[in-house]
Amino acid sequence: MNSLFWERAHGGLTHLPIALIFAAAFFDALAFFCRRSPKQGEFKALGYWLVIVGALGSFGAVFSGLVLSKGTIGGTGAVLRHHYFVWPAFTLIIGLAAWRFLVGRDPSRRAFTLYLAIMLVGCSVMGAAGFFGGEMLLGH
Amino acid sequence: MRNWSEGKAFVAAICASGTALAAMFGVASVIRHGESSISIPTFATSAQAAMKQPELTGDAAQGRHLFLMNCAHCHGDDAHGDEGPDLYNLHRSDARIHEVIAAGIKGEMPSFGKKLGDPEVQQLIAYLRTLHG
Repeated sequence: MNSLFWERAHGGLTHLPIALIFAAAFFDALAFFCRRSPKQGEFKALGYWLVIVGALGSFGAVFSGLVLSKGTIGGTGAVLRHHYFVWPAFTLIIGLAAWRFLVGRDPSRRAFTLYLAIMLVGCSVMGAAGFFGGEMLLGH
Repeated sequence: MRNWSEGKAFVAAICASGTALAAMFGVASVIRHGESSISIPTFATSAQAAMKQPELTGDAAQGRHLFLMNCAHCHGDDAHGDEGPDLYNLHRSDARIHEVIAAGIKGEMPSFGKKLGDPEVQQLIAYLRTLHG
């Protein structure tokens, strides 16, 4: 399989977890701000499952990226800039998903606030990783 | 599953993310090791390329920057080839190189015509013309 295959695979596998994690953050935020809504439980359940599936999907994204870059953790130029954000994003997302999985769908208000704040940071870092990844293909 | 306390889950989450990161670094190492049996590892070529590359100016310098951004992950940081061919001592006209960069090669090389304008392709060609030896 040539690098074109892995370039496409990486593009496809990367967008799935990005979409899932952003959706998880969105539904968790809805659950946070709609405390009195009868839908709050459903929003939390959505956030719970989306972050877990998104985190699992991020392994495929990282693996395909490693194959594409021939195992480069750092690199140079645009690849390095992409990696500056990829590794913190991956670490944060796995940590957040693991915490959520272990704690369950309904953590305490205080812990959920902190979780959402870190999730916001994770989404920002992941967005930056995606942006600089896209820059390698589409712009400079 | 019985839910964990939040503090205990926090510690477990840190361990999980550390383990995941270490696992991926391990995978990277395995991939690099596999690559090194057939070609020089990326970090080594980067360092060697930086040491061997003569001081470039003007279009060639800009072309080298474009090369590292767009071409190096297939042709190698030092342009001696990797997935893609070695680009040293190219015996092709500027027009032909321009055509290949802009249109790509079906199934082998992507097209850069939409991404790079004519001046940038010229800068890339200027850089490629510095690759001798």
